[in-house]
Amino acid sequence: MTKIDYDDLKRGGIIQQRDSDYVILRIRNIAGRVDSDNLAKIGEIAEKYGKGYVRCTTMQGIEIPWIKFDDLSKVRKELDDAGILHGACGPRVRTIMSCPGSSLCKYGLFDTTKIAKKLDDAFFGKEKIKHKTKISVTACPNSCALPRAHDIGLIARLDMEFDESKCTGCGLCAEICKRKAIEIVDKKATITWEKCNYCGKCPNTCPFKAWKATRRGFDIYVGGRMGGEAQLGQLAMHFVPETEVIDAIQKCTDVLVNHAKDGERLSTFINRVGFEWFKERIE
Amino acid sequence: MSDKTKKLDLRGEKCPFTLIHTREPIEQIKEGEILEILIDYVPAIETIGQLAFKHNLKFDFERIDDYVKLTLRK
Repeated sequence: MTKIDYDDLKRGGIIQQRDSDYVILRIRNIAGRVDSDNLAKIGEIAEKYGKGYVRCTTMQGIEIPWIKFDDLSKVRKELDDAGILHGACGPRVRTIMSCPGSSLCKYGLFDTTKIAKKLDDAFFGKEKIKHKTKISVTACPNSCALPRAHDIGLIARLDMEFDESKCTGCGLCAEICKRKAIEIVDKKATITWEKCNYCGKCPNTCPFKAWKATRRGFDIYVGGRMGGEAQLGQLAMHFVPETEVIDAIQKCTDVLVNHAKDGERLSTFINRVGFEWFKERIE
Repeated sequence: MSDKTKKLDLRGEKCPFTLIHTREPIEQIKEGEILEILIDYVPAIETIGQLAFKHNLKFDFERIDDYVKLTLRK
């Protein structure tokens, strides 16, 4: 009989399988990144201790199923020695999800993979919250990392100003605008700000630099979730600068720790207390 | 039309072929040459615009019915 290290188990990332002799081991890939040597090691472990396959999770992680309960300590040590990170389960802050970010994607306004790493350092595994809490960071309003489907979702936005003297009225910005916020009136671009979602395409595409980027930041959506009680996150904070993102999320989790009932997820909590009540406490 | 104008009709093409067909011709535009691209796949307009930026080309845009004409010159 193997000695069970309960402290180790509390850190999470171990899921009992239907067959109780086996567990699924969950690995976290911050912002979905897996280095190739780790990928090889994960494959090796799946081959040696599991059944030679892994599963990809919706949180950009990897799970190795069919690990014998008795092998658990050994496998955890092998993963630790290789620097492979444990995943989470239970009422904790989960792996931080991210889109490819500005280093890969032409639409990206921030390197969200780096921001995800910072958020992981600050929040991963955080306990005392009453339910799982998922955070996702996305580098433009296209929202590829599904931020509004997560408890806390960050969407990057870019604000801009318009220099009419540089505009030739070519119509390119009107053509590429997904929200149809721009029209050409009297040979000049005219924007309806209410329709604009601050995606940053026009300043990044205008051949004449008539659109100029000004501030950039994150809109923070709270209370989103998928699953049986699916709902979308609501806008709680607008244009939060990159340097203030950790503080903003800290405020949200503090409210949860201090006010949520046992078993309440951010979405169910907000549904009970009301969105305006929640918003007042994070301002 | 002068022989210095090249025409590329990409109407009906979608990505990634819009990029594959434009990448080389755009890179090869020489001083005084014009490249006219007819295209109806809107997302590609942005990609071509960014390529034009990268290679310091002048870039004109004109919508004609259900397609657009992009004119690139050096």
